[in-house]
Amino acid sequence: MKKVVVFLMILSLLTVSFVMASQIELSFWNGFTGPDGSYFQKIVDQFNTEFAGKIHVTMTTMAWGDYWTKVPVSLASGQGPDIGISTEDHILSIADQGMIRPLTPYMNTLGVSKDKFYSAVWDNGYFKNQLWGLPIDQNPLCVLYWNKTLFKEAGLNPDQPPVNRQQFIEYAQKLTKVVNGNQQYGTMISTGWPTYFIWYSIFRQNGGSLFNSDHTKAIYNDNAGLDALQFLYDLVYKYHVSPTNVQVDSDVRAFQNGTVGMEFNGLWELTAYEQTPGLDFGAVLCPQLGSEIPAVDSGADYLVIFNKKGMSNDNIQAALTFFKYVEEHISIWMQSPKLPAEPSVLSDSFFQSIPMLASITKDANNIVYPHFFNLWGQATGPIWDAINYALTGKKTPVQALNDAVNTSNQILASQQTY
Amino acid sequence: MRKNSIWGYLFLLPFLSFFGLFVIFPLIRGVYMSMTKWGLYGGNLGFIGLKNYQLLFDPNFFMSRQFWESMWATTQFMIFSVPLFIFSGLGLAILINNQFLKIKTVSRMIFFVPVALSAPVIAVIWMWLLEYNSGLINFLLTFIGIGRIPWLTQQPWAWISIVITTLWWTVGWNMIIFLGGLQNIPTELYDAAKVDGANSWNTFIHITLPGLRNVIFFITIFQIIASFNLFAQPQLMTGGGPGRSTLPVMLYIYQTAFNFSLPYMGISSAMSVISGGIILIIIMILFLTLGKEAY
Repeated sequence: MKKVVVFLMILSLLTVSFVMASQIELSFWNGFTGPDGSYFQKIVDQFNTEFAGKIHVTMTTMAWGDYWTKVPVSLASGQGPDIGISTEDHILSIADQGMIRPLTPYMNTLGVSKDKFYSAVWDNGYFKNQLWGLPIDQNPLCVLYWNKTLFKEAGLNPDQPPVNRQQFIEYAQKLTKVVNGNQQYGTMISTGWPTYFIWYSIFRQNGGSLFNSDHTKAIYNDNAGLDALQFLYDLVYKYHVSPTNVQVDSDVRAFQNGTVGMEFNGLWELTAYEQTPGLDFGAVLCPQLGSEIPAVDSGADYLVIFNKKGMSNDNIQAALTFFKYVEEHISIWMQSPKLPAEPSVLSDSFFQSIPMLASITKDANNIVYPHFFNLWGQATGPIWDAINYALTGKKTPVQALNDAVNTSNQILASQQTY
Repeated sequence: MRKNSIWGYLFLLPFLSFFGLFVIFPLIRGVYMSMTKWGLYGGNLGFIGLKNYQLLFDPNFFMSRQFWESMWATTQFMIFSVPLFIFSGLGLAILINNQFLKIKTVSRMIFFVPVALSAPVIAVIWMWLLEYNSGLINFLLTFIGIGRIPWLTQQPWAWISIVITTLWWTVGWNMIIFLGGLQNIPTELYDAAKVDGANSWNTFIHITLPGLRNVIFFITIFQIIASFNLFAQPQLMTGGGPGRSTLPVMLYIYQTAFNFSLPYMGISSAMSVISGGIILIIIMILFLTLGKEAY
């Protein structure tokens, strides 16, 4: 009897290992630490259940800073992940450095083409005549949140946020008053994060371009850039609808406490505000505060296949199967919250059931992406400093932008020496 | 005699191997990297000799300007913090060591507990205490009629905030070391002084301070090194602002090195070598001047 049991155990072990051996393992890395990651994990778990025995995806999360250090280093040593996420600002760089495979030959397998997606997010991942990543979401960096209760008290329609600069200033002035001995403000403009994204949105709305076409000169101290910075500066120092010296996250706190009427931040604050008891608020993509065309600065995530040594065709097909599955079940991920990369997601009933997202998405055609290049991050750094200098009253907007352009030009010039 | 030496070296071996692997090897490798162009993905992109150092001393190169500006920010912090933290630690130790203070153990604990906390925890606590619109400190200031102060967004308040936060965090460490030193001074000396009719000030100058000579020297060295390594408080509390005025050299090196698409690891290594050289020279000067008396 014992011999039979042992024989059966060995047989089952062999069968299992045979099954396991024919199951394709894919390692999937991303930076979705925190509560949003759990939504992506759901998609991965569902996929693994449906494809058990054939494909198994293991998802590993780490802070983005670590991710962008570990991924290149591990790939360079021949290991690393099979598939991963690239944010919109890195995809050009990793494609240039040869870290990812172009997906162009697989567009039919995936069933994707440019007209299926919002064109801005597609174009950001399609360059040099190749598709480098599958866009799965958009993460707007400039969302206008407004407090409906405070709107009502100020005699404003709580369902109608301002749609242009004139209205914004008007509403902000009506919302700036002393209430029960406390100073209430129409808005709060931070001297640091995330004001750059607001400035950049207004700058693009003014038709501005940061650099010339061959990236040798910074040109953002023109009217488009100056007007954008002057507007933010005036909100603080001319119209007095924002307090001075707003440090990072003070505006978030004040909005949650109901002491500020309107606040700009990224889509990621939506969850925090939804979980604030007693806060009745609305959210909409950055309104047209500029003069030319609508524009909203945004981030995005793309699924990419890494150029890992020894990746077989079977592995690539498995990766594509996973990508297709993610795309078909993308509404689960939209809860994190994110806006979709494809307009068709709007008609998905599950997406419609997620609070507020459908109404925010109606302006998604206004989303724009910067024109990235290898020195883009370094060269735009001085703009963050300029905004800080202007909003803390250290320099006038003109001075701040001119100084920043000088530094940006030096950084761009270093391309020659370094 | 020889047998004893062998045992000595054997006991040192575990420490020496870790020291060699994690301190000496990276040091040598870092010096090598400082003479190359080096990227995160690309790795070693070529030996370029002393070009990185040349660029860091070239006033027209933007990174050179930013590097030396950050060095000045670190220097400012050292000037503000080193004497203050040493004297505060000493003062606290003397206070607690006073024979009339009954609650010695509790007092020691109260001042030492912050040392056990990590930098992000300290930064977040103080960031919200110092918040301009709704922070507790500004609330109290308006209550007593002074008005709000932009602690983290304007100078000189930004430096004051970083110094106070760091003082609260680390003074307990200095205090504990000084306490140990104070307790090593023989009490007979104090008794003798009393008999001679010395007042507390004379006692302090002629007995306490000389008795603490070694400890003061030790604490000075450590405080200089610790202040030179300022990193987390400005990163989390002021973001290096206003402008770049509170951006210390360690933070600048970190920001430059871990740059994704640009091969700046080599030049940041050069920055590290220069910084290391500077602190080494400072410490050597200290040893040569004050060290003789202490040792």
